[in-house]
Order: sequence, then C-alpha cells, then structure tokens
Amino acid sequence: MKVETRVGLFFLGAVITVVAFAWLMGVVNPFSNSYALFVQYNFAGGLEVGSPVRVMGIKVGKVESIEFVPDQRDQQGNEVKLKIKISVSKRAKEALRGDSKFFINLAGIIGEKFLEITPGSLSLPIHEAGAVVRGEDPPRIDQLLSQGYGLAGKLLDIVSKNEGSVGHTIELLDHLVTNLNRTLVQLDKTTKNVEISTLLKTCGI
Amino acid sequence: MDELNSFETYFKDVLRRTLSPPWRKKEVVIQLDAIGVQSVPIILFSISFAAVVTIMEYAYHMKLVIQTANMVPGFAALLILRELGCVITALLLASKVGAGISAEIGLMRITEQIEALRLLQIDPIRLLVVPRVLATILSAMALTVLANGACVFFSMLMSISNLSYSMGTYFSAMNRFASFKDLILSLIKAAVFGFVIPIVSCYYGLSCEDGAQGVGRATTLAVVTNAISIIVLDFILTWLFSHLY
Repeated sequence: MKVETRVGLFFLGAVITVVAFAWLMGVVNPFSNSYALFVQYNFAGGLEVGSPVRVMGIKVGKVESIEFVPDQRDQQGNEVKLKIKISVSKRAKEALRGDSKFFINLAGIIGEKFLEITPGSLSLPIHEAGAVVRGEDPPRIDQLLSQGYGLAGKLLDIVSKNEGSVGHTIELLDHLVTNLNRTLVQLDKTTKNVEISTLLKTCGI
Repeated sequence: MDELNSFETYFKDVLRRTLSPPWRKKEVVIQLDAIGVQSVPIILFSISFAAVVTIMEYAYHMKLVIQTANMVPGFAALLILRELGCVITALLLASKVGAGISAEIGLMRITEQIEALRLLQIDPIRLLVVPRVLATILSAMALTVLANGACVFFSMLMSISNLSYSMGTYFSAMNRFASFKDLILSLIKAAVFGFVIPIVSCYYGLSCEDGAQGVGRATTLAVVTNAISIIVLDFILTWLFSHLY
C-alpha cells in the first residue's frame, strides 16, 4: 500500500471516530427525533445543561441551554428570569399537553437534578415545537431553613421573656385537664345510673 | 551549531519556519506514516489495557465507597477523555517517536550529514525539524482520537462483561458526565504534546555529541525531557481548562 493511502486511511479513521463521538454524545444527530420546548423558571434549583428530561420517569430528552432573560414575562405577565431550552423525543409529544407540569426533581445517590414533566389531559392541546411554558419553581430549601431559624428564634424569645406566665399557664392547663377528667368520670356514672333506672322501669319494678 | 547555542534561539527558528511556507509536503507525508500510522498498533494495544484497568479500579473504588457501580462508566469515560487518551498517547509517542527522531538526527549530526546539508545551502531545520513537528502535531491529534475511541470501546466491553451493563446503559451513563467538549480539550492537549515532542527530540539530536555514547545520551535525554514536559504541560493545560468548565 502506498504511503499516501496509509496516511489517508489513518486520518479517515480519526475523522470517523470524531464523528462517532459527536453522534454518541448528541452533538451531531442527522436522525434526530426530538423537538425543542422552552421552560420558564425563576429558580433552576441546580439544573444544568445536559440534565435529563423525564416524562413519567422515562428519560425522553435533556436540557440544551439555560439563558438569563431579565425582561421575560410569563402568560400572566409575571416576571420570569430564566429560560431553559429542552429537547424532548417526539415519542413523548402526545403526553405533553396544556396542563402538563414541569418540575425540577432530584434523583440518584449523588443528587442528580432532572426536569420531570407530568402528562397532560387528552382534551387539551399538545405543546408544539418551540412552545414556551411556565415551569414549577422548586422549593427553596435555603429560604425554608432561614425562615425556620427565624421562627424558632422568635419562639424562644417569647418563652424566655414570659417564663413565669408560661409556667402559670401550663399549671392552669394541668388543673383544667384534671377537672375535665373528673367531670367525665361523673358523667359516666350518671349515664350508667340513668340506664339502670330505665331498665328497672321497663321491667315494671 | 550556531543556531543551537541556546534552546531559545533554536525554538524561535523552528517556530518561524513552521509557520511560514514551504513545508515540504512529501517529507511531511513520509513522517506522518512513520510517526502516526506506524504508532497505531502499539498505542491502541496499550490504551486498551489502560481502559480495562480503569474500569476495574473504578468499580472497586465505587463498590468500596458507595456500594454500587452505577457511576463507573461515567467517571471512567470522563477520565479517559480528559486525561488517559491524550497523556498515555503522548508518553508512548515520546518514547517511540521521540527516541527515534533523536537517534536519527543525532546520527546524522555525528556523521556530518547536517554539515553537508548546510554546505549544499539546505536549511536542516526546514528539512528535518519542521516536517517532524507538523507530522507529530497531526499524528498526536489523530492518535488521541483513535486512542479515546479504543479506550471507550474496551471500557464498554469490560462494563458489559463484568458489571452487567448493556451498550445503551453504558453510553447513557457515559453521557451523564462526559461531553464532546472533553474530547475537543484533549485534542488541544494532544496538539501541544505533539508540538513539544519533536522540538525537544530534534534539539537533543542536533546537539548530539560524537560517538555511540553521545547518541545514546541524546536519546535518553530526549525521552526523559519529553516525559517530564508532557506531565508538567498536562498539569498547566488541565489548570487552564478548569476555568472553561
């Protein structure tokens, strides 16, 4: 074999391998069977480019890009700062309808984030390619913790400031429960007496 | 030789001539065959074993730490594409090609063939160094791609046979972590390594001392310097690329 041919085959092999990698990693796909949707969020909760998109737990696509859009608004006119482009396989298209919800969920032992789409009602229209939908913002765990800390601090403050009156209230509550128990016992006895007298009357004694 | 008084002068000369034509295409093709094509078997053979060992080690570590081998293909592919494919290829090229270039040019130097070229008004750097630099850059890039392909293929076979993966789940796990950008960055690393190997090897060849001992010394120095340069450059490039992620 000629030197030029050998060198040509060598580089052809390398180019084919690069194309194979591009195809396997989803960069180039001439047989693409997916379409794009845009999901609006105010908080992405750790979602990244390449994160999987699932419908009913089945992987049907991935996050293509995440874009900051400061002047973006949803259909209700509320400000939504993030626009996430996702690719979804056409086999899942029928399931994605007007009332489908777009959640950001957590899976796996390393806490991998993914976008979960719930199936919509058959009576509503399908989301067509390029549709912009509003996603459900994931709960802000950091905010919840921060608010929880604030609330706990206030409670402790109240208790420490009113230590005497709180103790007195608890004592009164204890008395109240004791009295309530006594009343219930008396009521029980009275009910039994009424039943016995009714029985005696029935028997004509 | 005058131009070899310092490595800096030599490096500038090589760089200037590499970037300006003529490039002696026929000589470049001959060097591509010698450096690239003839290195394919040894690199693919070695890298295949490296891939198998990577999977075995990752599986052991994962099972030890998190009691599952779910992430093995993802992490292994990441290591293969970012490091293993380009660094092992470069080190093998340095030992095979670097030693060869250094010995070949060293022998030409001690038998005064270089001087003869100069007397014939032929620039030895343009004739001997530039085609090797161009051929090694291109060969290192192509060999890195092939090595990455072989590495991923053999790690997939290992995952299927030992970790009960199917081909689909292997590539799905691989895509979870590795991306095409990793392959592109490994090609940039390969180009840098491919640039350094012939420059260092030709430098030691051109400054070779007389006698068989001189050639042996030049060859050893070329291989050692290349290996150290590759490892240090790999660190620098990895640090630079870490800002791109």
